[in-house]
Amino acid sequence: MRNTLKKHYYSIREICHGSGYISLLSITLITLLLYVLSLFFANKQIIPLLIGTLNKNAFASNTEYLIFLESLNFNNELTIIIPILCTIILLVNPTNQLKSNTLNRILPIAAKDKVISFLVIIIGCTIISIFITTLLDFAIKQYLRSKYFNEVLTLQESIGELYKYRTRNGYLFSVDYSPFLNSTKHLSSILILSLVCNTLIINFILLFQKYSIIKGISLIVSVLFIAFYLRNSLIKMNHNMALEVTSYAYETVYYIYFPIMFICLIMSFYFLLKQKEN
Amino acid sequence: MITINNLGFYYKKEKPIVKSISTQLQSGKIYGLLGLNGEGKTTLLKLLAGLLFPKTGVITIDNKFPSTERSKEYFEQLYMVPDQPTSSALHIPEFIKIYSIFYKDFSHQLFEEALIAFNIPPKSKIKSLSFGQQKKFHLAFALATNTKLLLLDEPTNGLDIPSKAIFRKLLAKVTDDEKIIIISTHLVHDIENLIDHVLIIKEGLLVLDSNINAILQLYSFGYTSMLTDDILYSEKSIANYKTIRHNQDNRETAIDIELLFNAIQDQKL
Repeated sequence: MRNTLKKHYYSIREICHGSGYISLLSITLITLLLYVLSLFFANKQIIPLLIGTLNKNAFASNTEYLIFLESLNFNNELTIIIPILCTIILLVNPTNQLKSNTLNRILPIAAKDKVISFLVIIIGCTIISIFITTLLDFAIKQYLRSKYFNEVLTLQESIGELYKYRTRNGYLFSVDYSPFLNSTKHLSSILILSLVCNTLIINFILLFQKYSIIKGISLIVSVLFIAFYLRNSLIKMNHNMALEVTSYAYETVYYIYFPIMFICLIMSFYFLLKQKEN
Repeated sequence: MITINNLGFYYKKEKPIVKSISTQLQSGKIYGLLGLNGEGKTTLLKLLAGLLFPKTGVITIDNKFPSTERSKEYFEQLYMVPDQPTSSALHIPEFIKIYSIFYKDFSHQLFEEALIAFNIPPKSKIKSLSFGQQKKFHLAFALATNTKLLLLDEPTNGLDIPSKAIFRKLLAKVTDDEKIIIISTHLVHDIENLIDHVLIIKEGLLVLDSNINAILQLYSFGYTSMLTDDILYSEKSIANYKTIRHNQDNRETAIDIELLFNAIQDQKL
């Protein structure tokens, strides 16, 4: 047992520090970078907020400023994919090394041990990145609430709204606002998704010699296109019946289809390690 | 012992690179693998390392571990230094800490001695070393792994003149009765005095698979100013001719591998 753990520790250390640059610092930096990017991509209010923080006179009137603050919605749905993207970015290099570095390819590590090491790293990176994203999000929201909450109250009082009902779900200055991210609520789903996406990318890198990620994504898009085309054709053939997406359907995807897909990808990864030539 | 049985390999079926090679590589010997460019030397090394799979035939170590299994046990027995090893962003001590652990007989002492002999700063960053220094570092690591099978593809390529001599000394030092060392090279003079056995590949076939003593029993190597009928192969040198003849009177001569190689290429032997 101790030897098995040691063996996996050495293999994980080789992937993290030998073939790749995976450390707490690199996970934190990439997560931070992706979080900042997601703010600009997902939240149109970030630029007015930055301008407002620096100079609130940029708003035409106090009322406009109040309307802006009241409507400030900091729910960033992209935060869910940050841990997955972060893990993918960190794993690209070690996976490339598996394909092209002679030293790496002849290391005496059993293929199943390599697969296990990669899975442990995917899970570890995803969880750490979720934790950092949650912490960042929480800290920013708490900072904004502590900085602007009293200002919102003062502005509301100044226009005579003493008892404004502020339970607009999701808005930063509503009373029942939850600072916790969606990612903490859906930890298991994100983990499953991260495992599927990462093993998919690893398979693409090992499968294709050049431009593997672009080729892999093109392949998925083509398959999805055919699937949608077939689905639409089938619906038309069945008298335009409507499909209802229920929560049951989502659960089926997460807890049945994704695990099956994941197992297939793991098997593919294992056999690529055993049989891939260069 | 490594057994190669009916080994064949191709990327395109109509253009085979290795055709039906069979031989046994004995422990305790240094093999020189020679051949023209594109004749399949590197392919044969990759097949031995398990990086490529034979299209026909099989390679086994001690008749137990086939190369196609790519088992941990197979890889534990071998190490390969490619012609151009991949650079690493690690510092030498970090590299050793991470990678030496996978080789149970790794000799830290030998590695340090090799680094000192090659004059490589022991704490340097691998990527910041020159090509030749990186090659020397990888050779030092390969020799220190103490694996049973050591595959070296053009090991002296990129090495300065003193380093070639140091490499020969280190290689002679690590050789023992258990090890099989295969050196693929074009620079035959660099390893001429080291090798025990010559393997020459031509058009995917092993046209010569013989130890040096057996070659010297069959042929004598020398110089002459006059070409005579008993000369099997000759090459003009500065003042006279380098020759190969049948060794009818059991004379002891020194082998000239380059001359032997050229004679075989010209189908004179």
